[in-house]
Amino acid sequence: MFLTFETAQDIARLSPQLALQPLVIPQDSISSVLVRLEPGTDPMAVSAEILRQLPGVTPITSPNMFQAYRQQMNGLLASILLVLGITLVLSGLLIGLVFSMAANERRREVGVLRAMGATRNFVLRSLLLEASILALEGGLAGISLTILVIFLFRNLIMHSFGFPFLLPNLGLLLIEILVGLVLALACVTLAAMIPAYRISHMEPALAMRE
Amino acid sequence: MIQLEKVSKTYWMNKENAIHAVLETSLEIKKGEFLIITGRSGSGKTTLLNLIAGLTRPSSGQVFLDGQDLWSLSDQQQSLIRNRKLGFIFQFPSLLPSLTALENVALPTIFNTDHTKGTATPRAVELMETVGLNDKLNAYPRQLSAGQQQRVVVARALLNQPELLLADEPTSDLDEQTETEIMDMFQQIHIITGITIILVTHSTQLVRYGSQSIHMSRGMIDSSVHN
Repeated sequence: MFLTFETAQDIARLSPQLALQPLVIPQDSISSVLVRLEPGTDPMAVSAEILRQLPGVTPITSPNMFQAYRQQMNGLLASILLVLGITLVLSGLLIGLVFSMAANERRREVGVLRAMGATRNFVLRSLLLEASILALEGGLAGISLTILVIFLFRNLIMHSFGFPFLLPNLGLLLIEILVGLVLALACVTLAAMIPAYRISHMEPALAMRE
Repeated sequence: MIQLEKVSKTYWMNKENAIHAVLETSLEIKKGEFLIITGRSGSGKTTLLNLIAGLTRPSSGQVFLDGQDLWSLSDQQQSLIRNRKLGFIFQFPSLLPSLTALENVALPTIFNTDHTKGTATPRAVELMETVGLNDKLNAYPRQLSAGQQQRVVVARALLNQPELLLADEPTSDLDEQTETEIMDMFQQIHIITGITIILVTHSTQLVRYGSQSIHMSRGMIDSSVHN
């Protein structure tokens, strides 16, 4: 089994409570190092170089060791990314449609604001700001719901899949949350751009008409 | 103050069918006038008002406000003119439902950097008193009658001390008594401030309030009367 150092340390830290026998990993101890090569690099040449430069270390070349596993994982990752991409595009279109309907209902309000002296840019900025606030609220709600589901069902997930459910460390988790929020913000703002531009550039008299 | 030169506005339904809402109309409105525009539905009176206000671009012809061609200006300059020089009263309920009456009156100040919150609120309160609604400052539009809402709209239109007040059928949804009250209020505002008022109505009975009236038919002015 190959784990990151952080994960191995986490398992060791939790083992006194969860395992029959506690796992002890002395600090700074390394039993093996996995060397990941750039595509096209000769594993035999690297192995020979390690042997030459680090006496006492035994390099083991295993080009086929992870190949099947990696191919499976890459296939799975590609499928997940494809589904995510399609979902994102469909979500964008749906958000654009919903925002277009919502903005259309407030055409008259926009017309009145324009008559009172609001510039096209003011209206555009206001509509996009509203969309951004909604996107952040939606993103935060989604992330909160995900955390709740993971918290409530993590044991079920572990038993269903038959392997331990490990979360990345806090720093990485925060980065993932931030990326999620930025993605939600970008998706909604882009989807709202066309209807917001259309309504903000409409003649005020036309905007106020039924 | 306002000059329209051979102004037309055409709405194209499709490539062949067009509606000529206003046709080759020329008009001059002097400062301090109270102009009433009458006409039947579809005669082009609201479109003419929108053209005067710069709310719609003419298909042909020119609109001058204080000697300046409105459509030679940028959107920012036009918006500034609408904010500083014009006040609007619409036929439909135009108050923002989420704001109180006082906040609605003070709304145009968000586009006017001359006003600070310190000056906008006392001015809005003063105008609410002028229209007789000083006891409804914190009421929301849904808590006001149609007549009261229209008074708030009048107060909002006057906030930036405009030179021109444009009213599109301001009494069409009101009963006869409220209509008289609102029209009397317009007359008082005109007498006290000397502001130019252009009011569109389908009711020929309201012509008596104006200093001049024009009647529109099929997109053209077919008669003009000075009172």
